[in-house]
Amino acid sequence: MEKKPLLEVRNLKKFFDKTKGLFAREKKYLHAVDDISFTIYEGETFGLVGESGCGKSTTGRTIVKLYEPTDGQIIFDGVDLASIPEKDMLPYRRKIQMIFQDPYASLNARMTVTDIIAEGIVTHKLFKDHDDPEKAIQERIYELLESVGLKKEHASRYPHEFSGGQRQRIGIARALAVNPKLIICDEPISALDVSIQAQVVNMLEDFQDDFGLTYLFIAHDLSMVKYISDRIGVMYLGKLMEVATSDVLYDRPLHPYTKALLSSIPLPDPEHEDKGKRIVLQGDVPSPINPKDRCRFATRCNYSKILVKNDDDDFRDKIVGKFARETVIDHDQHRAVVEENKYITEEIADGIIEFGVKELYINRAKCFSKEPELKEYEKEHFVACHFTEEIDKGTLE
Amino acid sequence: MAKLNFDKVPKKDKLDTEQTRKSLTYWQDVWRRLKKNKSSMVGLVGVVIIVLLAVVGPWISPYDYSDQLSDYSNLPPRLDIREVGDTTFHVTRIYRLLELEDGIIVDRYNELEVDVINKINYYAKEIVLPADLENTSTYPLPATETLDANTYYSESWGIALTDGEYTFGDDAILVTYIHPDSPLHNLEFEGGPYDISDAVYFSELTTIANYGEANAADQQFDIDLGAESIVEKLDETQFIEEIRFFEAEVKLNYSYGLLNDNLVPTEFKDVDYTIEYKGDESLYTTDTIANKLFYFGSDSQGRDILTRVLYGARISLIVALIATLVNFIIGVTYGAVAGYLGGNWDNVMMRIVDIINSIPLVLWVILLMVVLREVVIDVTIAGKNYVIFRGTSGLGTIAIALGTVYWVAMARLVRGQVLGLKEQEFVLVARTIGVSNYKIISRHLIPNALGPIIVSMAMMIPAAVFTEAFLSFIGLGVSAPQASLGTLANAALSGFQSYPFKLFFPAAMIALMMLAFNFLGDGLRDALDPRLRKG
Repeated sequence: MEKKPLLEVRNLKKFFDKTKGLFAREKKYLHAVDDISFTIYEGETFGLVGESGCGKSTTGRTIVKLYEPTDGQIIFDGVDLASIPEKDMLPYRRKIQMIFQDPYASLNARMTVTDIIAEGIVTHKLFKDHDDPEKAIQERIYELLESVGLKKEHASRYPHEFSGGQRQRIGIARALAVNPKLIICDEPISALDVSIQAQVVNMLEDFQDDFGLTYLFIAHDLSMVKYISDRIGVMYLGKLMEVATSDVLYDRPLHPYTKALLSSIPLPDPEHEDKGKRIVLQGDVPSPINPKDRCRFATRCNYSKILVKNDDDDFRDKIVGKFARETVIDHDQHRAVVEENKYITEEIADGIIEFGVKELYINRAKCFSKEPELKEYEKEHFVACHFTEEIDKGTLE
Repeated sequence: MAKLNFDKVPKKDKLDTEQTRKSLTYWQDVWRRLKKNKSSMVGLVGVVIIVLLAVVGPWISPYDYSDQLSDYSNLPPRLDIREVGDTTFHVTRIYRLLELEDGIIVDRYNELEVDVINKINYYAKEIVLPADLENTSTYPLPATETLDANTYYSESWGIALTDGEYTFGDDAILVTYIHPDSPLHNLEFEGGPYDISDAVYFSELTTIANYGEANAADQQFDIDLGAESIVEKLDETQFIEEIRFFEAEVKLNYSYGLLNDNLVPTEFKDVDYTIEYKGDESLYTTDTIANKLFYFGSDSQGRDILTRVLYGARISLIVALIATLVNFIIGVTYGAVAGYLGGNWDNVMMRIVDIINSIPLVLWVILLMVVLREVVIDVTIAGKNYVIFRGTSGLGTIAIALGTVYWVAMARLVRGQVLGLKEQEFVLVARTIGVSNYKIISRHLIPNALGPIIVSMAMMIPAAVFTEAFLSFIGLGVSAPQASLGTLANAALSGFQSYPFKLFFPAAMIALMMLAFNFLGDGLRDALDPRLRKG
């Protein structure tokens, strides 16, 4: 059966203007989401993972146009949401709903549960043709409450009378109230207890079957994402690094970042832990403000550097013209000869050899000079890395 | 094992259903917490009482705020009374006699012309002060005047007196000449020689120092009149004014206690007087009673201070109410819109707020007063003409002035709140649902910012009351005969030493209003403060 795409995101960009002051020389843009494309098919769950600040929440919010996209297309049901003005958005707002992370902040403390859930129904006038709209709405709310595991009596209460899990259920009921097609779950379980997390995730899965929902599931909990998602996109610094079905992604990750991310999942198996397979990334996430034209992950990638040893005869030739990966120390004078990521000239190379440096990490020029595109490496397995094939085959130096 | 001192609940008594209590709304919760706070409840009760008094008081008062009972001006809230027989009298500061019964004035008698006598009194004091009075020749006898052997001329007094023989109690001094410059000339006796025997009596010569001890009644004295003794005689002099009414007669007898203390009085002594009524006499004030005619006393125009204070409180509250309402409507809307739209809108709108905030309030009020003085706005509804605004009254102007300036603080507060709230997830949810901006502001943002808004309003009311009082005090507020607390305080300043009660009551009212509203505001802040809220 041919899968029908529900949401196609094409070259979506969202930049935030961080220019300070009226007379700043150059504009500073925070590239929160920088040219990402992916497709979500009807009835599936698309997981979006990545570490904090990588732009996954911004992606979700831009899709529902909480943020105006800087560029790109958001094609939902054949309509480009990015190009239609806010006033014409209302019919689509009903079809895309969102569930937020913080169950405490996502419910208005001044409204009763009834008012909270009814807001969408009232806004979209769903029961306007009904004989007794108010009663119909009330019935619908009771029905929704019961379907998310709450009771009728809860309808007249205020949010502060509920636990975190109950609140999240109210949030889900609110999202379901308008019969949406797509629900964007922005870390809906991160703030909950582990036991409650399972309940909520199972409930979401049930609803998916019952109502034919499609989910965009944003999370940083990899195991939970694997559990719920059909396909997963891995984001890093505003870019999609790898997109694959969840089984493929977990069994055969190709992108170095995905590998590192997956290795960080704690396993309840001490022996496994002992094998030391964990890939620990060095350094911090670089600033997303005006990023350079290179692979976003290059600065922390284990594959982007080549170890060059001094015992070769062509050591000098190998390092000249490359970028130094690490700072080389002048041992006599305690002075840096080559700064990190600095182009190595012939003189510097001579200096390095003269100082008796045994080993030197240098950068792969490709990683640091060109941004890799997200390319389909295998069927339904997209990777954004210059060396996908080499990593897959293990032929990389 | 210790015996359990409790029993297990039998199975049939176990409650199967979920125990629920009625859920409290946010405002019920606030009210519950407010009730716990004693000082704020005192403030709330105070506010309610003050508002009730200000609304109802001027209606039920028998006086209007502008009623002038000039006969009863400057009456204190507690009256000094003298009991004469079974009747009580109060003597006002301008020597008016009020007959009282249970604190109510039943009749009123003439104002007494005592200024002349006061002047004698004053001059006598001036002259007596030097130690060697005999050598003081202030008023030399003109050469044209001749005095006979029995006449003594006092250079200090500028009077020639016939020296005579006197007995206790009933004899007179004959004034034969008064120097034109003498202060006693002001007595304006007609003709000459001047016989002031009608007015001058000797009663107790025994106290005159020059004569030593008196021997016995009916004994004859040679009076060697000197300046000092003249003064001492004046000291003993009583002037009698008669007041006629109905069948009885009230006399207010003045005497001047000048030289009581070693002939050197250090300050002006109060006038002593006795009241004679139906043969009874009263020398001293015996009691004070509450003034039941004017409970807070009356002002210089004879207007009831109680009514005026209540009316003033009403004016102050109206001004505060208008200012706060304008505040709420403009400030909250403006701040919420600026905060919600954000970006350049926010920038421009807040710079406008900065500009408005930089206008000095007093200057602004003066300018408005000038501009709006001629403006009268009226509407005709069903044939009746209602004046909505009258520039000359000052009330509308001051409300406009406060309303147009005070909202900026509210706008800033609301903007700050909204800036924080609009990034909250429940607002984002509302936007994803497609709720209109108007509904997001009115249903999500403002209700959640209402706590600080209400606290700010509660705090703004006393500030507005105070500003209005201040502006009225410096003469920029409501104009006569309307009275605000500030104008009342200002009017009381002129006679403050004599009539402190005229300042006390308006000042106390201002203080009470400030205290009550501030207590309530503090309590509201505690009750609404989300940091004190649990989960």
